Amino acid sequence: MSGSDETSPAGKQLQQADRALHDRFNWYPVAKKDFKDALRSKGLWVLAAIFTVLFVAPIAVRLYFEGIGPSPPDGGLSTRFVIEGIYLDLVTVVLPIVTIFVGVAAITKEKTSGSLKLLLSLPFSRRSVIIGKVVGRGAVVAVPFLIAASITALFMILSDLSLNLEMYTMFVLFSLLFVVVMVAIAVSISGAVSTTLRSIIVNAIFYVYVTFGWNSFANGVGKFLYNDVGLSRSLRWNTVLFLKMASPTQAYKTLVNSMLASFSDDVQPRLQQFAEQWDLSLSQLGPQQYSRYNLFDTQGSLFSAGLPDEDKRVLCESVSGGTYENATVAANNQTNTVTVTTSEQTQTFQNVGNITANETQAQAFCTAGGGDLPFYFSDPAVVLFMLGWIALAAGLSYYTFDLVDL
Amino acid sequence: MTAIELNGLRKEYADVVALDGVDLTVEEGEVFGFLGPNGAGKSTTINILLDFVRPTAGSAKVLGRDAQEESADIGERIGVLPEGYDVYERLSAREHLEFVIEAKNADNDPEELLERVGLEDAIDRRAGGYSKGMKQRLVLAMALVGEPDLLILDEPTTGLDPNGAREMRELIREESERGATIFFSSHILSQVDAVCDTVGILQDGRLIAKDSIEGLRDAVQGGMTLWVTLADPAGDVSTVEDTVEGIDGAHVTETDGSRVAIGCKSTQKMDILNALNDAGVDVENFETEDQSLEELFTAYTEQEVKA
Repeated sequence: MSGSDETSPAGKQLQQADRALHDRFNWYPVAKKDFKDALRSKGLWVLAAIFTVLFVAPIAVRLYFEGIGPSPPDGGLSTRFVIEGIYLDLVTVVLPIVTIFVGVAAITKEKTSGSLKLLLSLPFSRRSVIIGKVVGRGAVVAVPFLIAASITALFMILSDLSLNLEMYTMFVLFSLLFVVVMVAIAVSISGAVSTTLRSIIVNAIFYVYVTFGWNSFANGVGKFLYNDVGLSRSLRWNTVLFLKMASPTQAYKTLVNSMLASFSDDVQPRLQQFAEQWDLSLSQLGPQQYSRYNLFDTQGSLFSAGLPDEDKRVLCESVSGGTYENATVAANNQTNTVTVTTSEQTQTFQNVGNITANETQAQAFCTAGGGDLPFYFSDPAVVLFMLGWIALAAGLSYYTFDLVDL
Repeated sequence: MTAIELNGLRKEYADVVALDGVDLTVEEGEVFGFLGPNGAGKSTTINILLDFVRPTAGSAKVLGRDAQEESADIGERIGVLPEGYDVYERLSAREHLEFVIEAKNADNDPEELLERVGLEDAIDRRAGGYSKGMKQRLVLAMALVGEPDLLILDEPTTGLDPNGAREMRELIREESERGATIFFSSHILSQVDAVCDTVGILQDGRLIAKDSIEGLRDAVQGGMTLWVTLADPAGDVSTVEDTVEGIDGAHVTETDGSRVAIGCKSTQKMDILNALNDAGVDVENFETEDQSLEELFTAYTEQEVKA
């Protein structure tokens, strides 16, 4: 090899690692070749630049126009806000496009040109070709992503934004898992079809469906099971949540959301606010429970707009493992009092302020106490769902690439 | 151990039978020419040996291993020039070879390999700009990495100029002397007889002959057509037919106006012309036509049937 005259200690270590990977993994040369190819084509650096601009620009713009943004207790634009409000949506929309772009022709190009024949006449099984391609192309997305994430972290530190390194690192790790899953899917589709054009079409359909159509699919199935098959409410919403989290995008979002929530005592801001205002002891859902419950709150108008109270109760208690709590706030302008009633207590507050009319408001909260989240909805299970997509991609490759004539 | 062993190999595609029960053994150290007209099933056979295609029935063993179950192991010990390949545009010849050397755990020197195939001048150029012949040489160099026990070459001389074809034959000889088994396919007979120990002829998915090169030569000895133009066709055609029938192995195959075609061995050409002269036939002109490969195959199969 041409690099054998390398003498620096770092170079030697790199060589040793290269050697060890080579000896251990049959697919390693395939992955390395693909990665080097991307290095040579400069595509890697273009990608790193794009990611960096996408990450830095929104916070830079916000800093410039709005100063420090909403002020959380620790001052500055918090890491959680940046991830939750900007990066999570950015990553779920942009990253799959990038992985498709990088993986769509991984196999089809070699198929149509004929270089696949050279590759397969070497000591590579078809399986190692697929794995090598997934790892190689995965690295082609992951390395620029890591470069951009590092630059962004540096930017946040230098511009006096608070950076919670632990939270940020977790976010980057989950994003890398998401990258691997999406690349595996793109490459396996590329192995399953005969031309790059077909691969583009199938990948595009998959992308649009998973990113934009999945929730209505999950809700549709739930509705059908409830209305036409006669499943119980509990089973209906359990199924819907399961289907929602089965999407790689949603699974990734769920993982990041519950990770973010776990960093804060203030898991449910609305509940917290209410409890503090009326001096009530309302126990909050755990971060995992809350992020599941929140899937229905934030995804579409399902939860907020006219979902029957019974369904909300089921979502809270049977799906998220919480307690569905109704709180009634009754304002009386004659006595100038407000009475807050929950299932456990009733409190009356005197001299509250300008009460203009008699009105009664019912508010519903999902508080902790009902039970735990079942295992199949927990974070480890969601990680398994994501790995399940890799297994699905592997299965697809086995039946459409391993077993067939080229 | 045998280098290649095919047992009842059969391959059906949706509407055609590409291979119809092929049994074939290639011994270690042999240079085996795999002959047949285009579409006979040569590439299908090679694609099965390389596990690009799975057989419908029967089995294929390469170097004692099952071609389908152990294709990665086989890949360690063979060198391949497949049909319809392409090289990686962005990689140079050196990088191609480095990749193959790494994949095969070999320790060859890329420069040395490229010198052997005559591509050393283009070693650091991107292969995307290579001519077809250069790509062929590069892939051949890749096939030589790791001193393989078996070389499988699909139509190795297509795309090469006469000089290149000669170099290819030399290379095959060198590799054979080193002890490698060589299995190569061709539809051009002249490429085969110069280098082969043994020849197999495939036609319509069946192996119709497997023989040494001498055996093949004997079988198709003098496969030739002699066209004679008669000055007086009306009177002489029947005389010609009678005269030719009297010569063993020769017969009139076609009559076209004043021209008569006589199928014979090449050594009989003068005998026939002399005999016609003796019989008083006025031959105005004559020409000879070598048999095409297809006719050779036909001649060979007819021979087989007669024997």
